[in-house]
Amino acid sequence: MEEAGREKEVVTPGEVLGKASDVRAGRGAYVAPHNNLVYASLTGFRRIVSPPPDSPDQDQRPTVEVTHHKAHGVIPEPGSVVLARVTKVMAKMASADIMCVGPKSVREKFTGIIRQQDVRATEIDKVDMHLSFRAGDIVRALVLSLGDARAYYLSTAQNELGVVSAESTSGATMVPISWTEMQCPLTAQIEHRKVAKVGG
Amino acid sequence: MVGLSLGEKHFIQGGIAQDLRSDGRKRLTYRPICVETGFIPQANGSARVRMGATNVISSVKAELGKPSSLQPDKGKVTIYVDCSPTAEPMFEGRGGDELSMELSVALQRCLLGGKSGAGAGIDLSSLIVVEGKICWDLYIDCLVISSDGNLLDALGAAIKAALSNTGIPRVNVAVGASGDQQPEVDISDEEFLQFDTSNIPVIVTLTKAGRHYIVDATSEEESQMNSAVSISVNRKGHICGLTKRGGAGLDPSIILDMISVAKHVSDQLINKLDSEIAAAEADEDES
Amino acid sequence: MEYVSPEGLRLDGRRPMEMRQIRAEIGAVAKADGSAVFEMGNTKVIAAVYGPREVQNRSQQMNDKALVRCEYSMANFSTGDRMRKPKGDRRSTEISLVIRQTMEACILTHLMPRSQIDIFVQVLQADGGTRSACINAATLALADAGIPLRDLVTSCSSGYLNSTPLLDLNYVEDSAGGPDVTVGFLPKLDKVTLLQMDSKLPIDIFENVMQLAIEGCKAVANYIREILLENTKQLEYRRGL
Repeated sequence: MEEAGREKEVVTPGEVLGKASDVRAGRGAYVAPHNNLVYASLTGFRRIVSPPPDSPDQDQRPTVEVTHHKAHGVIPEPGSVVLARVTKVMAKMASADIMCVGPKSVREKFTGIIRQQDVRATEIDKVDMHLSFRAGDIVRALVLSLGDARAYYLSTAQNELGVVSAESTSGATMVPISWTEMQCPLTAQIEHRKVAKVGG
Repeated sequence: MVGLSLGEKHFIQGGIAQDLRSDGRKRLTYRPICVETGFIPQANGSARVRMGATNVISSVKAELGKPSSLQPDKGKVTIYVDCSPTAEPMFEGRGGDELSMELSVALQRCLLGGKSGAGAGIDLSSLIVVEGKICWDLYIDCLVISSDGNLLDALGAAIKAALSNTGIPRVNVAVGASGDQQPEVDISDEEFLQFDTSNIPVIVTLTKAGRHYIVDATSEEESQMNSAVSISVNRKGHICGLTKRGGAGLDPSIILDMISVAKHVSDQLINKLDSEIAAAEADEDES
Repeated sequence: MEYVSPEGLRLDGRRPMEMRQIRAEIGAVAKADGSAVFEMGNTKVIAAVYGPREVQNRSQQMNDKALVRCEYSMANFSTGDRMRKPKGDRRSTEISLVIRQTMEACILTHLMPRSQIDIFVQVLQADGGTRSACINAATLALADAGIPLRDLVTSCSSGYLNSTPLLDLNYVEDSAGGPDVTVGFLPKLDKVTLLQMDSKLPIDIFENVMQLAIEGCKAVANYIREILLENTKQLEYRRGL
């Protein structure tokens, strides 16, 4: 009845979960270096996950994890798609506040920057930042790396990435008409953005 | 909190306009109030009040002191509010001082009346022991443990509950003291006088969001407010103090309207509080 | 003054090796990531943990581990005489430092680089042993917040009066001027992380007194474990698992 080996045992931090030679330490567990035992580091249910079939033969140890009842806020990881609001546009880069990672919103905002060479995939040295983003736009971007101490590095260099929603100077939400232009429904004025391809 | 998005703001304001708030309450309904008295056994009186996620503790300590020369027939009361960093990380160090000061001053204004002591919600002349020489000094200390909006109301309720839980020891003054000498006093450990709290006002805060007012705002709703008026009303329906916060201007007729709404709401609040306090005291007696 | 009567009873009726009654509650502050109220006899302490979150002061950011900060404050009404200044005095600063160092040693900080963990401890009532109650409350709050810990740190104090080692001193016994040993202990790993003592003790008696405090810590650890297990079961039950 328990296929993945889920057990209903609750553990508290400091409890021994096994020997390091028998199990691998997953989330919520750690290996003490001096005696090679695996201890729990969170309070929660202990789960044993069987090793994936493609791991090397010598390392067929199951992984033991402890799941806490509280879900922590999400944190942007390299490779995740995020939604960010552009705060500042400068000559060589734009800074944005990351608001959602995937489908979940974050607990506190993280700062990201989109560099000129990461805005699009073609002709990257001829990019004009002011024709790609404006302050206040909502963009979908990919996290490239943890970046430096100040901000994550983001990239919009794919068709599905870029400005998702923007307000025109007259205050209305604009409609995208091509991959570089958006039009205001009230004044019919066209503004330049790096537009994301949404839908099919 | 990252801040409310435009959609969330519209949702809150639209809901208030339709008399349906985010947690299902009507505009003039309070959150469930939970009162525990005798929380701090070392103090003369204490209470802990929970309104939703807002959690405040109030304690009353009585010490003998000398009345001020301007008012020799009145005791002294000092109200002090401390915002604990457990409520908000930004309250650590001196971060909470500004809010603490604002709350202390607002509470003093609502409960203690003006500089001459006239019109105080608490009857100060009952605190006098020997006129001109000895009086009781009441120190009311409040601590905000957890804040989710509407701190003033919760603090007012906590002070009221703590005062009704307060027992002032009976003092026997030695007969025969004359002139300028300090009379000998004997503080009894056994007998206590219960403080009379029937005239203590409660504070009702009305927050104006859009065109309607709500009572007992959560911190989300408070972030949307244009302005808020806190009115302290006592059992007889008299106004004991008024504080307006927020930058938006209010038409005088709206303020009068808010005052009448507050009076109406305060009736229910006073009754609810009294029954909760009585239940809490009964619980305390049993345990 | 006699702190231990000839029959072997202390001033509050306890035996020398008996701790005061402990009570703990998790989740008192809804807004915090983790919070707990811990009572040891009449000493009542509330702890709240905020984190891991972004570092507020960029200059203090550490690239390889989390920054742990702690603030200890006493409420105005916590002691018998009303205190004037609830925080910022020397004793509060010292206790904040002690709690921070103790908790930092047992949090797996390398798992959360460039972030900050704030531990706020507020004393509601002080009757001796506030340091220990604070550490116990902080451990519970950290476990409630889901911050990875090496082990649960528990703490207890012990002393030596009238030639008897006493466990868990209250305020009267503490102010008697005898030695006061506070121990912070990791029960499963069997290690001492905090050891403080004032006044003087001969070494062989010191060993006994410290051992007694360690036994007290183990008893507190069992209680804290039970509370955490109970809390988790309650939450899972409410989620319908």
